[in-house]
Amino acid sequence: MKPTVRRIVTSILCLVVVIILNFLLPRMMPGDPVLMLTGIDEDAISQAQYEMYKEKLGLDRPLIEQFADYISDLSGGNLGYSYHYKDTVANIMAQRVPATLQVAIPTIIISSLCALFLGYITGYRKNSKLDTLLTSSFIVVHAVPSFLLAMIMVTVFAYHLGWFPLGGLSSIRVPDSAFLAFLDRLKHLVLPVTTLTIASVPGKYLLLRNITAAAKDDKYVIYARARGLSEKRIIFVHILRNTVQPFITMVGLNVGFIIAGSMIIENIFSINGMGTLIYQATSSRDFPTLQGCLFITALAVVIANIITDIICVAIDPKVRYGVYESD
Amino acid sequence: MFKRKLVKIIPFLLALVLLISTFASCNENGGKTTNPAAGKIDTLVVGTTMAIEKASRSEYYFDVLSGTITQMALVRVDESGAYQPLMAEFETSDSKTWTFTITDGLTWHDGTPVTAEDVKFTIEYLDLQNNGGYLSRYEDIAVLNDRQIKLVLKTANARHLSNFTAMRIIPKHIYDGVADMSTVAEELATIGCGPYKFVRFDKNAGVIEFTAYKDYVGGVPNVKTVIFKMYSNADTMNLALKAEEIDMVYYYAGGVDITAAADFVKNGNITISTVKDASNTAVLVFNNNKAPCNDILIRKAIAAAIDYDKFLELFGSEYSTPSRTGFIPEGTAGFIETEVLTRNLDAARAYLAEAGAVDSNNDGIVEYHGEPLVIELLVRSDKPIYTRYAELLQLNLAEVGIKITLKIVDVAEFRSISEKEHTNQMMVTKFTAYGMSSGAGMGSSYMSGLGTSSGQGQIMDAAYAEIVDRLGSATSMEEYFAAAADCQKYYAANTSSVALYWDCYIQAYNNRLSGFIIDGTFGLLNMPTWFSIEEQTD
Amino acid sequence: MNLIKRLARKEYIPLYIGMALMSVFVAFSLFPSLFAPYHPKEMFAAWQGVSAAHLLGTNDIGYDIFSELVYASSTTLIVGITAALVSLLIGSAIGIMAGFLSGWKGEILDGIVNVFLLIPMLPMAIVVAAYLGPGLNNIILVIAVLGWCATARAVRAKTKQLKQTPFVESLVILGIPKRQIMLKHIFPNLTEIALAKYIMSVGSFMLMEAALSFLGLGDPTKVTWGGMINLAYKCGGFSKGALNWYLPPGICIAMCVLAFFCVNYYFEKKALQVDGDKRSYLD
Repeated sequence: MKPTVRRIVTSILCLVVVIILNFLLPRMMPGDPVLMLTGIDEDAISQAQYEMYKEKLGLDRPLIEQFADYISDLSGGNLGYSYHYKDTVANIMAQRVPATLQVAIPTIIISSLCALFLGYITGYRKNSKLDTLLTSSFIVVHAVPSFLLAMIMVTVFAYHLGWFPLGGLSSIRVPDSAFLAFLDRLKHLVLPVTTLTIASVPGKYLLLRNITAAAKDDKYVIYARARGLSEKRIIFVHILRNTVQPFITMVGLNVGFIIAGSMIIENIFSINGMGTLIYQATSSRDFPTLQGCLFITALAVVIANIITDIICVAIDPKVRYGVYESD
Repeated sequence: MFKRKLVKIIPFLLALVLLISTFASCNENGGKTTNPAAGKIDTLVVGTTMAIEKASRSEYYFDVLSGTITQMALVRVDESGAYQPLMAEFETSDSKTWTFTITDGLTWHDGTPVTAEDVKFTIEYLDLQNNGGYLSRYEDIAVLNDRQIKLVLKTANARHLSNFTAMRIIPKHIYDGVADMSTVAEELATIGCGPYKFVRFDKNAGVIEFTAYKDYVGGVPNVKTVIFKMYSNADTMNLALKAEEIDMVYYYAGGVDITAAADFVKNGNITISTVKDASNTAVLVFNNNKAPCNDILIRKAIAAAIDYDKFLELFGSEYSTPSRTGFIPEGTAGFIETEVLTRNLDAARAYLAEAGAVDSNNDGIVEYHGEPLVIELLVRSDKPIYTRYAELLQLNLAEVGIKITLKIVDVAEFRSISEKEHTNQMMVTKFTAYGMSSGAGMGSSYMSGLGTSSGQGQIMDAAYAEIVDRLGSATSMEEYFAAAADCQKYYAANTSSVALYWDCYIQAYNNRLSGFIIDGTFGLLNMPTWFSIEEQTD
Repeated sequence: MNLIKRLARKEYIPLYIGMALMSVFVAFSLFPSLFAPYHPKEMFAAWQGVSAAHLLGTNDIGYDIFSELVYASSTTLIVGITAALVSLLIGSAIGIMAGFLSGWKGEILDGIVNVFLLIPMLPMAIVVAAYLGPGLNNIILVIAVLGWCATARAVRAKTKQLKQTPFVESLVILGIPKRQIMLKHIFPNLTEIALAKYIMSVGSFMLMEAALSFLGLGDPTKVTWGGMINLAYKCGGFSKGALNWYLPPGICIAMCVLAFFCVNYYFEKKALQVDGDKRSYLD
């Protein structure tokens, strides 16, 4: 099998596994989803209500029937209806996904560029003072839990210094003009994006540094030098081209990491995103929402991977011919 | 060579830093300007942790929140537990036939007058929507005229008005024929008849805004614009209150954490006030129908072994009070004074000995029916405080030779076990004021094991069932209070469950604010408050 | 003299730092009562600040924070070490088979590794943790079950590499059973990479435990560093600015993870010298 085809097959398999796990895991959890339709502080649910919701949720039918329904809904693009939120899962997610993306996309871009830039410099000059300093400090940062970082950020920059808002994505009164509203949003994004960026740079940095360092000593660099090419050209054309491919693969894999990271910090920054939704859906046993969220998250990761594969094939002929198949 | 590159980049980095600091410095002034007219408030910003997804009556927390400001119920209950007219005057002679007269001139926010038909429609519609069984209470519902409605109950109920403090009336002209209430568009679903009308719901900003409704029959409220700001965690909200980003915090049937309250006192610009709490803050609930807690002596031994002073000291505030054997909190209408719970280890050991539980093999755990007395305590994991309670109980009971194991589960599993399966031996939780007064009241819907109720206490005793019957069918408040007293005496005599301490809700708001009226359902924020609240201007 | 000079070489520095940090935490875990002034469940007045009697003050219900910190090290370390061990077993078993076996068996195992690599870990962990319920063993299980694929990937890559070496090829030609080749000939060559991955996993699994505890999915009866931060966050320590409560456990996590990273850094360098391989396992 050609590696690209194989990757795509793996991706599809991954989605199938996720769909099955999505369906089974929540249903194996202890706890009654019908009871959770009312708050613990509210009226007890009456027997008639209980039966009605059980039927509406489809929980009175055999598991295999529920699964068949889920699959047929999913293949029709229908993510289901949440009785907990009294809305379709697609609608609920449409409200939540943008919040997460507004944090995730800048984070992926900024952290990747930072890592590329710094990793490239230190990788090329491995064991220099700058390298020792940056690498050791990034290893330290790598060891700090992201939620602690977020808590410190809020305490210092939002509470004590008052530079940034404490949480949320907009001010209580959003300015009328589009530009000021944009600035307002930007101001709210600074802390969460910075936190996640700091948390995700070290891993990428170390990878890039090592790749660059390895590429530097490769034969083609020596040949290029022998051919009398300028150092500038070697650095920016020859080495860069060879580090770009693993870099893009890494960015693709990073999507999953950023989603996980945002789940933890969304709570601290009061952002109503996917992370909080997954958490709420789990604790309230809201099966349709939970299934929808996990499915879309997995889909995002898989699509990111397929796209990176395609880009890699486009820029590197060696991938097209399966030179890297051994890894 | 790379150094030179770095030097070139430094200006860009500087520019970036500058750009970021400009965002930081263009700090908005909190959206709060004070009206020159003394006392009147232009904008009040209220922080809340209630998670609202959508501005719709079908959304529980939106419905609750709108009950404080825009959607009205027929009556309200005041701080002392007495019912007061809100949308309508009420009268009854026998607690069986109730007549409501809607305030003259009351209109919906789209200008349509509020009529008795709306009330009838509400009862029928909510019955259909929630399958809630509201209709089955009535023998007859008769609309007398545009403004009057007569409800005839099947059996007299002195506390019938309690059903109307939380049932917010629905406009018939909007919902008539709508199969699923969650499908009504936001601008229609948010139409109410209170002193404020809905302006906007901004999901991203977590903001819900209301503005004074100029045609409100009761006059113009003191605050022009009210903004609710949602926070996903209380800590960030508390920081915002301290930073004066918000003017007050609001919880429905809840309050500020004691630790946060102590911090607010130190802060100096925040006022702490308390609202009497008819909820049972921390309770140890026995499964009265399962061994070993079906043995009254074991229950009494446990109750005598608990260190109530320590509970008060660690978890209570200066406003907390020691709990009593009667189980029903002091803030409840119908409360009688029973014995204060105190620790008495000797009594606990005596009860255990009487039950035949003694430590014959000297391993520190008493044997009961030949087995070591090990009791599993069910604990909910949504708040760490429940685990804290459980650990202290574990410590206390170990002193008399009862070993407690903890089963810590999340709310979903906790509810399945305690409300449906009833396989737990005992549990720690909190009973809300609403839950304590629902059904026949006096905590019966929590404690009774008979009927369709979820009944965590699982009391199957016929004597108790008789008391609950009397509570439910009382035709006058006197009759109800007599039954309530018997109920508390029953709890005290049987140690059906143990209240660990009693607390009140601690509310927090900026010092500039004053003039709050306290409501039995909604606490600080309620319809009358909007006409009495004031802001001090410097 | 020569020995001292050799031991003082620059390349040993990370190893020394790592070992020093690690020995502190190991000492804490083995003899907590020696270091902790009080039992972690002993109650004092709540919310005390830093003082001589309470080095880091007390928390919301009056537990001595420093004592908790010391007692928490063993639970945190146990979670990291055991979870990493379980994931090492799963990861190397699947990795070696995925790398060595050809045909449909290899394809399937390969597929399993790739699928697990793609599944978003934390969202799944939340669901699985809720499914299994709180408890130290369950947390270890959750982390191990979802975290073995990094090891498997590294082992698979190395096995594929070894498979193409002449010595393995000759073994195959000689008709030695596959199981024997995998266990007797390939496995010994994998110890270095497995060890490196293991040390890395301990560090990252401790971070994972902290994250799960922070989300409230940990074992509330056991004190761990992540659990301490979670409690500080939920019981008012964060809004009161009680840095003495939530910062020390965070620093401990970071230090402990750092210790494992440092040790790994040394072993990796050594492995690189032997192998001539330039790829780092730190990614």
